[in-house]
Amino acid sequence: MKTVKRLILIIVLGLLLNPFFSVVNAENEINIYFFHSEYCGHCQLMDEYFQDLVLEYDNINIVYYELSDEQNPAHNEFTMLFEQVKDAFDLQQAFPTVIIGGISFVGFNEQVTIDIEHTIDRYSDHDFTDVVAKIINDDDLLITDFDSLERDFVSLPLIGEIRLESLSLFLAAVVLGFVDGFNPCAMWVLIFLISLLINMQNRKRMWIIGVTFLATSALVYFLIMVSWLQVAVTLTSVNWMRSLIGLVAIVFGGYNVYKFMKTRKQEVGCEVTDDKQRSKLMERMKRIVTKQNLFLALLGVAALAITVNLIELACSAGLPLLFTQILAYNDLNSFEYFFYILIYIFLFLIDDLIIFTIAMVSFNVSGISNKYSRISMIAGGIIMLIIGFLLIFFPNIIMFNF
Amino acid sequence: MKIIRVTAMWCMSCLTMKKVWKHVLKDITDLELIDYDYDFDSELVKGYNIGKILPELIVFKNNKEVTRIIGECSKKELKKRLEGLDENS
Repeated sequence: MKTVKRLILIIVLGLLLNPFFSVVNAENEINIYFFHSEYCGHCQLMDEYFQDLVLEYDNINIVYYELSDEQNPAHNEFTMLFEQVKDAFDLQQAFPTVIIGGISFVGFNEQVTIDIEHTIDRYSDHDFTDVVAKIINDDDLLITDFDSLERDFVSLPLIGEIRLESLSLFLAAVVLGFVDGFNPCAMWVLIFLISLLINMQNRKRMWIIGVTFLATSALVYFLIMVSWLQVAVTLTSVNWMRSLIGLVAIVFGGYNVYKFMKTRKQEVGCEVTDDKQRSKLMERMKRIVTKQNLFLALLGVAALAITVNLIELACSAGLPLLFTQILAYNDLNSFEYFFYILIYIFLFLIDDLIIFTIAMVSFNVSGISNKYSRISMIAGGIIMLIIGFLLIFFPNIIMFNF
Repeated sequence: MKIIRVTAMWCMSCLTMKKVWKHVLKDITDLELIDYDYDFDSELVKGYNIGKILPELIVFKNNKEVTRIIGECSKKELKKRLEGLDENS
């Protein structure tokens, strides 16, 4: 119980100290680094294009580097910088070369202007790293600093064109949330609660208490994931942290697979664990359900949901945290972050919702075979092994930069 | 035949097994079925040395324990295991 209280405290403090909503800034200032030469015709066209562009956007700043004028006192400095930039972006000597954030553009044509405007639009409301500024300041560059143009679209029936990155994140949310949902640690609480409620034969009360339990569960998960996201976003710039998280995922995933293999021959059924904790929770639930005052009953059931979900979080061994970590490695705005987290939570709760609804309608508790929680255990374990492996060795795939 | 059935109110496997039991046990004549709840009848259950997996059926013949059926199983499987006992006796 003490650790649970401490966890709640940490989450609440985290939320207060570091308000997530401040991440949404008005419009980012964007530096556009323009490397050009007097003797190149396309540089002239690019220059004219930029002169129009500054009128259109008030958050961009064009930084000119003229490299053909050897009389310029800064000529050596400019040449050195261009060498470093070419090195970093793996570019040939060519003019014009334009760098915005973590993306390079070479040459001038219509596609380049479309891509430049697309990049400015994206960076205006997304975080990005100014790679050239980092080079000038002599900071160490990370792979996560570099970005790519998002030309990867897939077309889907009904939905239409959709960015590959969004589709991948959406699928990750669906699969991970669903697998996490079959984690059996907290399911018994819902089943017991529903059984108690059905015995009361008061349909209205059943609905109110059940919905409060599920809604609070969703809220707890949401707060945990959002507060982890804040931590995770700041961690993305630390390279060894990525390997550490990957390692932790591999250990947890490996443990799940090991446990599955060990219990492979065992009968499928409900595992009896921690008698003391269970009987305490059961007593608590009985008290809640039989409370005359509905308001007190609701408070009790909300508190119960908080406790149970914190226990469950420890039991699911970090799938939700891992998913949040994946989100953090993808530059999204706050709305998108929330959207994917909500999808995860919806799928996480879907089996509970189905059991609850069937019970409410038929006055009969139905169970889902524990076979599925075993499948969830091995699936979750394998997924965590894969993600951990990717985080360490192929971080580009986790960032969905194909 | 006597069967002591140990279940728990919170156990999903016990819920999924309900249908199977209903289907298979109705065909057994002279069946004495005793239901215990793992938590609420903990005093009564204690003596039977119940394992870590629920549900557990303890099957008696002529007042002698002959087998235990633990966890989930299919209708066919349950039927086969109970019929097998009949032939042996």
